[in-house]
Amino acid sequence: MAIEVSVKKLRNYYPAYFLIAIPLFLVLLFSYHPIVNGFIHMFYRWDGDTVEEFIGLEYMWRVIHDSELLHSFWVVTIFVVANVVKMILPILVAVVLHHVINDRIGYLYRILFVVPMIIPAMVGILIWKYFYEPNSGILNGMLRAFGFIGPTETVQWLSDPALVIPSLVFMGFPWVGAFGVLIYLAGLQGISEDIYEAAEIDGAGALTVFFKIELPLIMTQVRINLVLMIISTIQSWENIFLFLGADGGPGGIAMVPGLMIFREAFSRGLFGYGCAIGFVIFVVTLALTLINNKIVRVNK
Amino acid sequence: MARVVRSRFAECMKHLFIVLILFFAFVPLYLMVNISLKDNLQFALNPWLPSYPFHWENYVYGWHQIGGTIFNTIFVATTTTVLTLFFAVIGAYFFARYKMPGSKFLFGIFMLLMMYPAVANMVPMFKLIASLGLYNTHLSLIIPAVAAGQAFNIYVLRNFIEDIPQDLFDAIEIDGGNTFWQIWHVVIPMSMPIIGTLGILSIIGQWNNFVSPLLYIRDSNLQTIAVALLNLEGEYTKNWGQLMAGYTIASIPLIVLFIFCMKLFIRGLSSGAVKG
Repeated sequence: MAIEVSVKKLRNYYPAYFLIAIPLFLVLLFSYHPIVNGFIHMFYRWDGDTVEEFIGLEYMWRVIHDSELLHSFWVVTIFVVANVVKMILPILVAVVLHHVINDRIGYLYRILFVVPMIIPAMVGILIWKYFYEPNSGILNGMLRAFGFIGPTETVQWLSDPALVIPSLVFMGFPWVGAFGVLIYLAGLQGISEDIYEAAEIDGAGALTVFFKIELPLIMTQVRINLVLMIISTIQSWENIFLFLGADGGPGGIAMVPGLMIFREAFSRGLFGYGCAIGFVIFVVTLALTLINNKIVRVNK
Repeated sequence: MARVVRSRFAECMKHLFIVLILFFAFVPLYLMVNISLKDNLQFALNPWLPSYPFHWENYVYGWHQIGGTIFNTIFVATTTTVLTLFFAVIGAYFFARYKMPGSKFLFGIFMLLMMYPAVANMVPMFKLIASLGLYNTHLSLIIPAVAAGQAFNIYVLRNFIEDIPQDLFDAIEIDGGNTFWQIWHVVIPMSMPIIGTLGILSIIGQWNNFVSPLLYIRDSNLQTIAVALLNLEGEYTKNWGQLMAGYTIASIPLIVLFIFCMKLFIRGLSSGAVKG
């Protein structure tokens, strides 16, 4: 029970506000101040230093007609769809883990699934970058060993425009390194034994149990993961920067909005335009959040 | 836990499936450690299997390249995590224990931030760091991260503190305990599993962060591990063994942390700590 404090009783209780003072100060200074500052500066030609000139809606106009930005949102859409497909494997792993009868082996499996997760993300990305390396990389080495390509041939995984996006999507296979498996498993363990017994009596097969009992009962976790995944995919640009550099690969084929902010501001010195792109990402995220809230409410 | 055994075959298939997935998940780690002990000739001849002699000196070189940045990263990650949780616990206690005039509004200020895409703040954040004189200091990595962590951590901790039975607080109050006494003797012991899990998540997050140090840190002796690895990888002529030795060294601190906190972490995550 929380202590109810009315306005009248404030005289005795006002020191409680000091408990929240530092966190509040921190978010006002380091979150809200930059947000407002960003909104203001999308109307400025700004190099982050001496040049700061009001240009009105020029950047807004440019942002709407920027075909590269449009393309970057298309690329992000591809990644979102790919990531939805990638969610299937962790769900399957969690379900199978849940059905492993031997508790001790089940626990061992669970620990083993956490290990790839605690390898630093940077290390994981750089190892995959090495896998894709044309001359000494492991993927081409495998293709050579099995005779799919000649001993001196190379497949340019990260420079052939047709292969860049598929390579980025495939990175990190089998995609179980995230928290997904453990969270789904927690949901599955909440299913009571009675439900399984009832299904057994009704003669339900494994597939029926999965689609009629298990999947609906972990749907909450799946939906939360889906929302978090979409929001983080729209924002993410680090992988692409690390794999392909600030230009987003050959002809900018894998350019994403976040990387565009980075390039416009820190390679080209167009800080104001970076703020304008940031505003577009904010609007898109807001729209998706509103749509999501609506869908979730309907489902309830 | 035990389900009805359909058949020995089905049971084998389950294990086969899991072992297969685990195999693929561990291939990168295996190759990293394996290649880290080779020189470039051994690597060119056979990257797949171990080959003698082992080149342990790769690790000496790797340590020489990134060792210093590991200490920087440990300092930044632990300071950030301790400060984040210190302020977040006090903040969550406020929201869980007091219904003050304006509480809802204040809580809204934090929750709104969970929906704001941080990437949109990249440019103004850089300017703010520079104008506060934090550029090229470790504080530029610590303070903004503490601020950014408040919303999520307050949200999760508030739910836990609200579930602590009132009796415990009453008992402490009779003993004459004030606010901080309550936090120290009731809130922190009762929410230790969740604080531990949030702490590990925060440390992992800081260990992986490379955007902030890339933008805010100029001197290589202040740099953190992620950017150091990036620079190591960017060298023109690659000695793959030394490179992989560097990657392995960079992974060890998190693995050690995990070994010590494994039970806490798996319990925290599985008990719905991140139930959203």
